[in-house]
Amino acid sequence: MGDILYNLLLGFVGCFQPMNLILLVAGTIVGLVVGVLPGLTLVMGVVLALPFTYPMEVTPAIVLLTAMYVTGTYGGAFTSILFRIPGEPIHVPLLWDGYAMARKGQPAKALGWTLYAALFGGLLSAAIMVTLSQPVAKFALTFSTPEYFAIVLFGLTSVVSLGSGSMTNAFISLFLGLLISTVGVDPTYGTPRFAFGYPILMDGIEFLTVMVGAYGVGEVLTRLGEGFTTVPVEKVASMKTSLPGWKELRGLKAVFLRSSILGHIVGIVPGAGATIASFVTYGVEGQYGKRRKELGTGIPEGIVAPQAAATASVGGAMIPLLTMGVPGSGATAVMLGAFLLHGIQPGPQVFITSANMVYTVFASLFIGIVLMCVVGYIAIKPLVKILDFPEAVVSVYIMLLCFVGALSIRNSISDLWLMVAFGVVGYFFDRIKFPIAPLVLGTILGPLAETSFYTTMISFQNDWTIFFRRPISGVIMALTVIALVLPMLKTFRTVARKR
Amino acid sequence: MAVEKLKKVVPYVLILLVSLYFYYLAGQFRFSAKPGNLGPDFWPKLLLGLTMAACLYEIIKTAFFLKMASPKEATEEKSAKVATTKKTYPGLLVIGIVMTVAYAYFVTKLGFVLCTFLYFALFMIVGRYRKIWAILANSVVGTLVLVVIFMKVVYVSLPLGQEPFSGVTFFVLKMLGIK
Repeated sequence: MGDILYNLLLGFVGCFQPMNLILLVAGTIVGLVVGVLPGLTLVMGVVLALPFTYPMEVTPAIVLLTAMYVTGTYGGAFTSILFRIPGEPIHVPLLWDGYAMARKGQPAKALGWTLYAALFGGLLSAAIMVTLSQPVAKFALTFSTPEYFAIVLFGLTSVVSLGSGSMTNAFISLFLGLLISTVGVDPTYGTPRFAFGYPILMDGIEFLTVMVGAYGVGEVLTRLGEGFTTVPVEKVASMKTSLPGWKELRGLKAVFLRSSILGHIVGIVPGAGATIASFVTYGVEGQYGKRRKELGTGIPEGIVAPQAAATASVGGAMIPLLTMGVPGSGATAVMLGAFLLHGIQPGPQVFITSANMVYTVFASLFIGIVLMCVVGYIAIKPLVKILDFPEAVVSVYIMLLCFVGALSIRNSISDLWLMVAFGVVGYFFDRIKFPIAPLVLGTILGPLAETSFYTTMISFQNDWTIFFRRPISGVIMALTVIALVLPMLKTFRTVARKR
Repeated sequence: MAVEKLKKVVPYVLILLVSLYFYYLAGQFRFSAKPGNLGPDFWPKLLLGLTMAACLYEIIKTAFFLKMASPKEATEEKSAKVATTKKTYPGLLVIGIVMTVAYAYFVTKLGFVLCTFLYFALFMIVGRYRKIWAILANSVVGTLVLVVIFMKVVYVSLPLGQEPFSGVTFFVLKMLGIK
């Protein structure tokens, strides 16, 4: 523990180096702006920021992306509460109680609850992240390919079963994403797969191309199809934040704790992210909360639960990224890309070879969360003014950043073509109610899933039961089965009741 | 009712057919695997098999087990849906897709500078924004900012274009002091 605190202290010192500090502040502000803008998700914001990090050293690059990631989970709350416009999918649950509280004449109070929820959730999660990372990294050293495969499978299954909408559609989306990752030269045999003789396909399809296309271009095309009809922003009497009193906070301590811990745990699951954390925690509050019958009427619990979980998920998502090199969310997948671009492979060894970098990033998370709340408290008016920007103007900048982002991945025009193709695919997926998140996560985690599966089969003479016989992978596979079966049972029960 | 079911089933049929084709392609991979080892075709075939199974499940479920609403209920549902659904502009969407594809095609010919400027301006017009001076200003300033950031600061290699359009690119780069 002493080592961890000492390293963290050095990390705080590292944060105050000029470049790191400038980028931390810049990331905080840009992350809040991204959070506020309805057409731009925090994952897209992090993706679009990636090319800007190319000339940077790895530490400031990760500091910038982490700051944007964590503040993106908070910025969208303002517009959700004040104008019923969720800046992020994360903030949809905030519409139900946050906007309701604002309609009751207490917008300032709603913003205050959100601020405290983000602050508490973020700081608690960061503390857990710092405490758990080294022990998890040591534990991850005992992992072999069956465990990696089991973890990835668990993550992919969870994102399917925890998402809303048709599970079959989510599975199809996931399988297609995993298939996309097989394009190129097979890593074990060197056999070209689905390349059709094109050199660019022989190099495989970069997950960033799929992310930028499906999330960025796809989303803008969807909004273009709606005519960029900007929802008129209501005039709100007050855009101030009014902080709840100590007694009120004490009354909700269970909600703060439960939501933050649950958000952190959901964040750890590879593939799950802030959106799932936000919805799951709101659902848990609706099932088990003291005032569950009043949820949706504008009570603080309905604000604290999703916001604390969303911000807490960031610390959780950083754990599998840093300790195992397995991204915990879409945004951490982009950070994995940033690490690899700078020649660093995240995993247990990074705590030995780049401990200074790791703890500077940890420290930047603490500072970033506090800074986020301070900036959010002071600058809410100018932040919300961003909504006045015409959507057509904002969208064209997003499109051009997507184009440049695609071109900068491998300096190849073919990536631009692929990105455009995935943008159109993303649009049509949205139309036919196929979720995009499993497609993207399949592309990101596909190579790791395939490599660990093949290596296991080669090492254990095609004995597939090894995944269930090894204790750690066995437990994870059991959790995977439970994650799959529970939602199906729920669906069957609902259908049976209707009949 | 049959038409409604058919509409629901079409995406799954398309994905099923494409998966079948790719399954056939996966069977054509050339490799020499050690006896007893899984080949590079196993994983793609597994995924394609699962995809086809999921599509078949949905096709059968929709075709045989899905109860469609009666015509009266369908009309009421449609009216309710129309009342709550946003107005759509399919024409704008098609133009947007065509413009985006055209950007990818023309950027190597016209160069990043010219192509981006044109895309900025046209996209805002297609997006129903009508303030001409703001469109021009954003197009010029936006293009120049992107060029400076990505070519001067981040060193991304962006297309210069072909003659005579590359002349425009070189002129702008010279003006911005980018070598």
